[in-house]
Amino acid sequence: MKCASRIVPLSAAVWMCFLVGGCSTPSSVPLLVNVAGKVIQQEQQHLSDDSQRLSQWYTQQRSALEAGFNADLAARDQLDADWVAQGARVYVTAREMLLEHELQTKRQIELRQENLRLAGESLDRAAIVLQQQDQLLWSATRLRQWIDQQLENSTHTETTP
Amino acid sequence: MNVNELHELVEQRLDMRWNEFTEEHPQLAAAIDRVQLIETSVERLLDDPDYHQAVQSAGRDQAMIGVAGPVIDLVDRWVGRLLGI
Repeated sequence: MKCASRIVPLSAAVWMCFLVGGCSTPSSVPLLVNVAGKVIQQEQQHLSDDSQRLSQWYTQQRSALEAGFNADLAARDQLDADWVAQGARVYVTAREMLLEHELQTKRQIELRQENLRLAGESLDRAAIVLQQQDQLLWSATRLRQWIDQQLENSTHTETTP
Repeated sequence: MNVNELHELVEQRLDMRWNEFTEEHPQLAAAIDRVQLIETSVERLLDDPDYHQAVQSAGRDQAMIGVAGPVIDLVDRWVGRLLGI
């Protein structure tokens, strides 16, 4: 019995060392997850700003094309059909290319936004898992302490005449 | 012919007609992004089966493709259509 009474606190101590030393989440990990989450939020904000700026730039480009076409038209003394057709064709082609480029850029931004959203989601899940793990370990420690206490009590009862 | 060579060829052929276009439509030309115009032209040519056929028919000699008639004709046709000239 004497031997058993020594083993019980010893196992509790080993259990605690195991928890503190190697099994519970190191304190720096939630911090890193938190920082990574903030970086993702900042990136999302930057992307949103970039998207707005690009949208404005494409609108300006379209206006510039229209203004250029109209300015050439206004500056021309005599309008011949070929000249108007040429200008109109190039104007339309340039607008088409601009739109194509805009859609490509938009798709790239959307893809990056989606990637960031998924990364953010993964981090949120990681944070939840870490929290759950810590709670579980805390509960397990308390359960172990309770078991040890019970064992100690029973040992004490047995040894008491 | 790789993409860079095609890029150079398109730029070269576009330059030959750009001045003419600029004289006719100065304000519109100023509003057009030439770099984008070249890039889009290259992309569209690469998507065009006629371009690949022209490269094939120009022969296997890579050095000759850049100056081969069918490829230049096709690029010229494209640039002409683009600039309406």
